[in-house]
Amino acid sequence: MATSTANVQTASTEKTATLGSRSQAALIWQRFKRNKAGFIASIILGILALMVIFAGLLTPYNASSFHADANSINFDYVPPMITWIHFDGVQPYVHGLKRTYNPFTGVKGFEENTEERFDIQFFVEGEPYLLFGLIPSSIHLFGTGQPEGSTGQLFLLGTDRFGRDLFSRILYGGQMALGVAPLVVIFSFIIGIFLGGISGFYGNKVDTFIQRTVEVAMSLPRLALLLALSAMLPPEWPATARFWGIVVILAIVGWAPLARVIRGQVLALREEEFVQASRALGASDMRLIFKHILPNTFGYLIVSATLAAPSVILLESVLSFFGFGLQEPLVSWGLLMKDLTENFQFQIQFHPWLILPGFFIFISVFTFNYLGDALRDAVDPFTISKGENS
Amino acid sequence: MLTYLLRRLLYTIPLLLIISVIVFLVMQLSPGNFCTTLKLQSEQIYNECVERTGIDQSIWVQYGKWIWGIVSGFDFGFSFQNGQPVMTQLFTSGTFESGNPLVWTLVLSFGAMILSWLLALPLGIYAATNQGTWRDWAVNVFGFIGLSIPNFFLAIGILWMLVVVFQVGTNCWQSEQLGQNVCLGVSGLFDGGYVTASWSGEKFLNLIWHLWPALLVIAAANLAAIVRYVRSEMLNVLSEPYVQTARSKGLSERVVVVKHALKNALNPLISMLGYWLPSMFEGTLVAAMILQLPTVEGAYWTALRQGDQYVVMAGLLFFSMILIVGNLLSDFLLAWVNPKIRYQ
Repeated sequence: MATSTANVQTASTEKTATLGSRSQAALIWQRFKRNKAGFIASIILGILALMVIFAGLLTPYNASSFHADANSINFDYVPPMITWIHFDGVQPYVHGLKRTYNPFTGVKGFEENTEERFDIQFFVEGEPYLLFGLIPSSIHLFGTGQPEGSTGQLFLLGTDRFGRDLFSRILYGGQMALGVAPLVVIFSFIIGIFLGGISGFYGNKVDTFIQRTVEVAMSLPRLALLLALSAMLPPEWPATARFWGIVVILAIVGWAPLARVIRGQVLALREEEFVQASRALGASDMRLIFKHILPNTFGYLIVSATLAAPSVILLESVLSFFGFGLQEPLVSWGLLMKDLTENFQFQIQFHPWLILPGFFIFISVFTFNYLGDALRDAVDPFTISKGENS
Repeated sequence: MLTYLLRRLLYTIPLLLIISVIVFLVMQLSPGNFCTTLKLQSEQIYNECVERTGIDQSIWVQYGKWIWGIVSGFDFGFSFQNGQPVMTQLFTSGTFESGNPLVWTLVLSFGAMILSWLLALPLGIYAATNQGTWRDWAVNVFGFIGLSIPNFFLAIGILWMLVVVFQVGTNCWQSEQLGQNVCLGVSGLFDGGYVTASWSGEKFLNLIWHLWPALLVIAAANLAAIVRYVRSEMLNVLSEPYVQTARSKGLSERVVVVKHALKNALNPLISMLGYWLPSMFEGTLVAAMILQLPTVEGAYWTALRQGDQYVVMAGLLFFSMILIVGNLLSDFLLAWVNPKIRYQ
């Protein structure tokens, strides 16, 4: 009895304490929640991220498996079958695929063969894959469950010229397209924090030197340099080595503005009393920088990371689209659209579904921008968040 | 002010030198001896190449040869593809119609800049004066869409619309000037026979038809950024007491906004002009790659694919210079429009 009253008492004092002085994180969270657009954007982005992470489970096929009919002729350029899904009560089904040929345009295509019917099954056994790249599994959320070579296939968003399922490739491609961003941001943060921190903390000659370096780096044309640098990557490199090469190149191009922001922050914080106090207590320079100063710039760092991510996604997809970025067998959204670049007019006219990956680039960049904007408003204590801003 | 400007100008010289070193080193990373491909043509051309580039000597001799050529005679080297000087290949190849790169780069970049300002100013003002309404929100969303849409995707989207929805390939008509059947196309600068035809209204219209997708693609990203800046600057200015004074004098809202508020809101924006210069060129690069425009960026892109080293190096230097000039210009404009800023 006595203990429970004590518990109640401590709980109530804690409550008043939290009400009286909320932590900064709580304040930021509260301000962030009030920004509806940013909140919705983060939910969409979260769903997209989950879809991409669980790509193996959600997709009916693997990213680079070729599909062909019984005669081993590829199901090339099958149009999106999402509109060809029919319902028998609640049971969805698709018809078999039948080849068509237009003698006037010379364009081959596919249509539904209404004589065949294939039920769409859920949690169906299919191609084996590694979930998260670790757990072996062969269960797919949906699919027709038909063997290879059957005409009963489910290509939700169509196929490419080798008969690879575009929907599966988009989800797997998202792993690269969205995965590049954090990697690049982390790499450029390491460079930026290190150089910016030292530059702001020591001032004088070191500062001048690093600032000149930053200036040079910022005077280099971003996209043109990126293209030139990735053209320099040896073509005989395997795809994974090239992936890391692209990540490093993107970081090299992107660190400079970050270093400048961090320097400004460090410069201001250096003179703060708590830093002076710590210095008086005999703390080393590195301790001052990494223990006292940098943690206080964290809010800004997170905001600039979120704001930097969309441009990384954009740059990677531009590079891959033009054939200078990632290479097969890796997939990324930009790379998926590369098929369009050859014989553009023909492709866009007869296989327009090839531009679908672009929508995913757009949505992720769009939501990232909104998220970054909302975070900036939430973190910066000097922006007075009014209702009309949200 | 003048001394400051002079100092900044002088400062760009070492900056450009360092950049030239970086550009040179970057290109040196490329594997192989680029003269060897010429050996197939003839031994003499190969020897000439070795002689001119100093490829058999140390890297610093090569750099020295290259930079000395630039400084002494504005000679940026030559193209490995056709032996033309780089300057010709990158800037002045072709006639005006068939595509003089420098001219078309300027036309497209500044055309896009004018277009983006013409569209962005009214939109930004509109959003600011309707703050908090759904119209403001719509402009805001539009701005974010513009910022987020990859410009290559926008270009493809526009082309898709033209080809699939409007079926431009099938729009043919009998041209009186050319005396032949002309079908609308979507890339390049002119359709069919217009390239060599003399200037006329018809030809001009055809040019505009080919330019607008490019202009829109280049303008899109900046358009969105400018709208956002105009809106926030206008909001700042509109809350100033002097605007309230103007209102309380009984001036019409239109006069208050255009004559009193806009003038002051534009000041900081003018300084941004310089910053947008480089991003214009980035947009033009993407547009040139997709829409096959004969601009400097297009020439750079071709050179990049063919591994034409000297052209790529000159291109990188050129783009850097645009960046530096842009920054300089914006600093200068900032000081010019805002007397509060003084430079020692």
